[in-house]
Amino acid sequence: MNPVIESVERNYQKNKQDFPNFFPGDTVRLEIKVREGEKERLQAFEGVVIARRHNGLRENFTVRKISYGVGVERTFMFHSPSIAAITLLRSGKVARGKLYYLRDRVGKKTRVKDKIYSKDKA
Amino acid sequence: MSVKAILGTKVGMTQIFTEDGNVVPVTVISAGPCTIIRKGENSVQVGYREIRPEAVKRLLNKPMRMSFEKSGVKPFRFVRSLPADELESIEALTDINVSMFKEGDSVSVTGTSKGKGFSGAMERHHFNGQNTTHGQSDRARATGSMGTGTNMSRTLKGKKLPGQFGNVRRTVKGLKVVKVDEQKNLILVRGSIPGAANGLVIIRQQA
Repeated sequence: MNPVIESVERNYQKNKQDFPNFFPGDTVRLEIKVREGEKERLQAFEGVVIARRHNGLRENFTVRKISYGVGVERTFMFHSPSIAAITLLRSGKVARGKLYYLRDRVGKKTRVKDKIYSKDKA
Repeated sequence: MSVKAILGTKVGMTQIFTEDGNVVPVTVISAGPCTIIRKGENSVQVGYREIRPEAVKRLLNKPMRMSFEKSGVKPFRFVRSLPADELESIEALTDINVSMFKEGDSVSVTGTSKGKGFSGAMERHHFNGQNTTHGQSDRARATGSMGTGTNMSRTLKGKKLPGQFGNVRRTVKGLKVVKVDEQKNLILVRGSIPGAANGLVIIRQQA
């Protein structure tokens, strides 16, 4: 990429160290800034990360959850200033990078296995 | 001091975030600094992008070299006339830079659009073409009728036909300045501007 454009984008990029390193299959909880008239409040969104795209400033990820029996997916820009916080709740053990197959699954099958770390590693 | 335009180079496009989390598509333009060579009646002649001393002989012929020497400025790759007012307050041989613009300003950007060569009517004028079926063999991308029959007996001037597409001077008006970086001589403008990266553009203030 053009180094000048890169330098422009760098001003808008967040420091990745400030957020947990999460992968598809992980369950995360996001705090999103929501504007209601003059007031700003935080709204939580909790679900399974089913996709993550790395593309510099345009890096984004999709979080899926089941809300009142309805599947809800939201795609977030990682570097967006409206994401206040990301908390990693559970790490999932999955075999692929994009978990779009979860969309076709209902009930118990929508669960993602926890990643078990061996004792000496953890 | 008010020169109302500046010369720049298109760097390329990207997107940035606003404070409330919206994404804005922007074109990055590296603009100025330009040196005022001389003053006209309601314009100034400016030079942009200095030529390195070792390249001067290769890039400029003798009359051009002498002209720069006479004006007492360094040789420039681009010399253009830009609109200006209050000429009394402008001094020749001074520099202008991107500080003449600020966030939220309306500007127009002139550049040379990307050349697309000799293009057919479908690409050049968004014609629809014709059927590939119904016994047609070579009409799918054809221009179609040239006009009326015996009644007019000629093709009207300005009929949209295949021909050279692009590589012409184009101006986009009403673009908003999103950000100005005086240190790096950069302007970020919302939306797209004509031409390829590294092309010369003129950015004008709009009333």
